[in-house]
Amino acid sequence: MSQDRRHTSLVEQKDALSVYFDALLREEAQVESDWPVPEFAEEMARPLLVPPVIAPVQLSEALETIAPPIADGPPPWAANEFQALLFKVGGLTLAVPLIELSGIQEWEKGKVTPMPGHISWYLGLMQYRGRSVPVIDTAELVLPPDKLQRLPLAPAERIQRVVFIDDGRWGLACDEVAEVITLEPEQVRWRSDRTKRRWLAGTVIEHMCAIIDPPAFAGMLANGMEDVPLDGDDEIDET
Amino acid sequence: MDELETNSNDSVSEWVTFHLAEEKYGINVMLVREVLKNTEIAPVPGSPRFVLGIINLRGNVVTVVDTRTRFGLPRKEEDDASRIVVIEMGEHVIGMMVDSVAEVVTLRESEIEFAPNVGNDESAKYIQGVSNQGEELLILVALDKLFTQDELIKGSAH
Repeated sequence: MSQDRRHTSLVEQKDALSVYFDALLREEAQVESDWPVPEFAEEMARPLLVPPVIAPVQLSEALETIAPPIADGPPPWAANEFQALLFKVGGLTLAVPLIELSGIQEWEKGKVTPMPGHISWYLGLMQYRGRSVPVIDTAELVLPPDKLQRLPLAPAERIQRVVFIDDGRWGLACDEVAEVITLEPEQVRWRSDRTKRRWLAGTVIEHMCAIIDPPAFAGMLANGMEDVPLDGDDEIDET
Repeated sequence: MDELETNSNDSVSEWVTFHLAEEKYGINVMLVREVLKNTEIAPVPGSPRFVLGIINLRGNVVTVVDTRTRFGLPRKEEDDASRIVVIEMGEHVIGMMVDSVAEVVTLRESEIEFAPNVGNDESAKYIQGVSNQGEELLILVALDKLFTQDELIKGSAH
């Protein structure tokens, strides 16, 4: 009797996980074209051997001029076996290559100074290695708005750690930091089109994670957010 | 203070600091004319959202802006700690309503850190820099960027 119950429970857990991922991937793949569709979600859902069919991407004129596509295939740090740290944002697992990781700090209330008038994903400045470093709400940048809205907690309650990249110039706030994994370049499904979401280098089905390309992420933060809707900023600009 | 004198290349500047919500801000003392307390503000119908109204400053009409609104922070009822920092920018005199005024701090140039720009955020332009003051970060405001020429004219027109 108890064995049966345990068995049922295990099946349910397993199902729950696959249902969870199914929902995550399906929903994100269905997002309308005015919001950046996470391509990795579609790519993860496809069989590995089928070459990805990239839907035509509508690019604004500005984007075409300021954001040239990044070369296809593995970034330089992934030429050979590499290690990556897994961290989670709003139910999504991201991986940052260790070679591009500057450090991790605990998120402490009061340690991040909000800057006035900024858009919501810019959480503020945090002291790191003797300088003031901008900290970004990674979830708000990478998750589609519907998923973001359904996150149960506000950033201040959700965020536990800050992952620093680009020689400590940027902090990516995350819910939790998980383990370090070792990957062969072949294990990663590298993206073939980096005109959009240039921060996303590829995906690893085995770990259900998306690998970020820190230099591209930092460049995007510093130079322009081609993927981020700035609608929420309207009020700030209103004078 | 000895250090201030020994390093001649490291110029110093003075900043009037004030609080808004949890944060501390600084504006260059050279632009501050005076700080007012308990001053009656007459609302001006049809003025921009960030304008609280006007005050009579020794016979001169001065527009008072809600600094919180200008910074994208929620409004707050005025209380005993509230102050109007009267600033002078060229020919324009403006009152800035703040939660409270703290002190005047002297900063060496080397203590002022450039505030990194984030994305295409236009609003970041009015942050001149930041300075780490022990446990808290002082945010230095570039007033000339905060109040554009347009706003000065709009505000002064009432």
